[in-house]
Formats: sequence, structure tokens, C-alpha cells
Amino acid sequence: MNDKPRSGQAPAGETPAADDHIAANLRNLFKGMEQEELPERFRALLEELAKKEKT
Amino acid sequence: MSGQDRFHADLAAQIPTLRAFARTLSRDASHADDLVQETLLKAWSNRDRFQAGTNLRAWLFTILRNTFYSEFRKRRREVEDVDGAYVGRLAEKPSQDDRMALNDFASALAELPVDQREALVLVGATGLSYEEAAQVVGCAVGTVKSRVSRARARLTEMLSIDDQTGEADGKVAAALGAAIAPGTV
Repeated sequence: MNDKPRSGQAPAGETPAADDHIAANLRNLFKGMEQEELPERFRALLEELAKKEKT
Repeated sequence: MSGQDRFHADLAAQIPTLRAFARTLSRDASHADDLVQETLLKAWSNRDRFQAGTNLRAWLFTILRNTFYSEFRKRRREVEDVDGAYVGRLAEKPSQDDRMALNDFASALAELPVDQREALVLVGATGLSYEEAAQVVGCAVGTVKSRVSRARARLTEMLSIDDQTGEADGKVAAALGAAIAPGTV
């Protein structure tokens, strides 16, 4: 069973309004972090690993 | 595209999400990037153990989380965000009010116990199901649900969200006007 939480679904004891509030902020926060520019170190690392593998 | 090239591309595509997850765990941006780098190295060297067709994101989260807790146990204490840089970098919003609201939320999130914080983020922000989150964390689905529920209750309390209107005291409500679609938490 895929017990995926759904939009608007609040756990017992919590109001949907509070749930939406937290959900929106959490996703906004996470999305903001995901959209930050990545440091060069990660791309360089993966390239180096792939290069080593081929040699 | 070879299997190796595909894995390489898939790995690269997960870096932003991995980085965001690491930041919610460690609360220190530099340390979080170190965790991501370590995770990429481990994933690459163990890629033959990844089962194609399964959830790469969940597999990477598991590696990152294990790395974090392994270090955590060694140091016995989490790196603190002494200069507040983490909170300050979390979100760039169009207005000062919105940024303050997001920072309030980020601060409250950072105050949660790490087990509640990771459960909430895995389920509410990364797109994992409760089952997948439970696999990442290595506990029962019911435990994840309980942690998520406690995390939300604590956040509601910390942010003083009104039970009837959903409005927070002061600034948090402003962030919700920033055209952010309701999430799946």
C-alpha cells in the first residue's frame, strides 16, 4: 500500500488550516534550497569519478 | 547512453534535493555540502548495489542520513549555526515580509528534534511516501507518522498558528500569499 499523504489531509488532532500552513511553508522552504546555485565542487566530483572509471 | 552514464546523470539530477535534505539535517550549510559530497562518493562506489528501477532518491537519502548519524555519534553533538547563516540563506523571497516569514518557519523547523525534522521533511517536502520514508529512516511506518504528527503539532505551537483560521501570529501568514501551492503534508 502506498500510504502517501495527500493535500489537505491533516493528522488526527490537527486542523486542516494549520496543516496547510505548515505544508506550504515547508515546501516553499525546501524548494528555495533546491533552487540555490550549486557549488562547482559537485559537478567536478562527478566528472572526476566518471573520468577515473573510464581510464 | 550506457548504464554508467545514466547513473551519473541520475545522480547529478538528485544533487539539489540531496543538498536541501542535508541542510535540514545538519543546520550548517558547509557541513551539509560535505555530507552531499560524501554521499555522492559512497553512491558512486556502491552503485552496483543500487537496484535499477527502485527509488534512487530514497537510496541516496539513506546513504546521506547514515553518514550524518555516523558523524553525529562520533562527535556527540550537532554543529550549531552560530552565526545564523543557515537561516539567512534559506530562502530568497520577493519581499522583506515574506523573507522574514520564511525565516521564522526555518527557525522553528530547526528547533525540532532531528528525528521529527527529518520525518517531516522526507514526507512533506521530498515527495517520499510514508513507506519510503520509513525505509530511509529504518523504522516502522507508524513511527514516521507519529514523528510527523509531533513535528507538525510542535510547529503549530511555535508559530502560534490559529486553529480556526490557519493564520500565524505576525509574519508567517505573509509567506502564504507568495503564490505557493498547498503541499502534500
